[in-house]
Amino acid sequence: MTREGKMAEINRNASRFAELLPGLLADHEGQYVLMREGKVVGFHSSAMEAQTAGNDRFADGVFSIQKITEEVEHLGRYAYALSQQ
Amino acid sequence: MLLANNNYVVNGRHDGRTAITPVAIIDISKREQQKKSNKELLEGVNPYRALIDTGATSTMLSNKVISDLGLIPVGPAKFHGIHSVKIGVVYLFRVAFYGDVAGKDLLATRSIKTDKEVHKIYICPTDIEGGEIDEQPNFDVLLGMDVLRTGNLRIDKSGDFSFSF
Repeated sequence: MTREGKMAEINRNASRFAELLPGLLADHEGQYVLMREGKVVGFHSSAMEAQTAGNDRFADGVFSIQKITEEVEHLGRYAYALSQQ
Repeated sequence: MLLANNNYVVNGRHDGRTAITPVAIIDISKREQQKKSNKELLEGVNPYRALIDTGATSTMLSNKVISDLGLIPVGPAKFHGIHSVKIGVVYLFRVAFYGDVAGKDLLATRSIKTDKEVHKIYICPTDIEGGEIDEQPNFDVLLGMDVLRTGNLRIDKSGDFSFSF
């Protein structure tokens, strides 16, 4: 899977995730969701577990994982360095 | 300097403004496949300059590191930019430190061969989901609290610092 292909899948799933987040928080906050083609495939307790499940299930690498949280990461004084996607 | 009950310590010097230590970044996004194929996880690992930053909640990799290692993002995450919250991508990796090894529990230490020499490294046993930053002149990796909280960080007024596990 190319980086461009992965980015397209991540963006598609991120949009759907944003819509689903309020509902997911109630039962799955802190877990990691595995998504493919805009659909939820499963929930996992860690990023590595979700990633491994995705690798095992989708040999083409077309999936993304995301933590179910409303938390935002802070970069302190280096916030300016955040790469523009 | 070795602290009680710790097996591994990274020593360095700070200049009163920044503390930088060499680290290796290990891609774990395909760890299970690598185990099955017996492919060496540390293949191609080289040292990068890591800035110790307790103000960052997440460890971040520069474009250069990501490009060098051919890392593929695994998903999105939210980051505070200068003026607003932005969606970025995250990568799955582990951080390995170059330093002194003491004690008997050396299971986490490995030998790696870079272009120039063989090093002993300690692989921090925490899976990190870190984001991406633009290339910086003085460092390649922003070492955030997700890694720093796994050890004991000491900044000394003499100009030394140590990070032990």
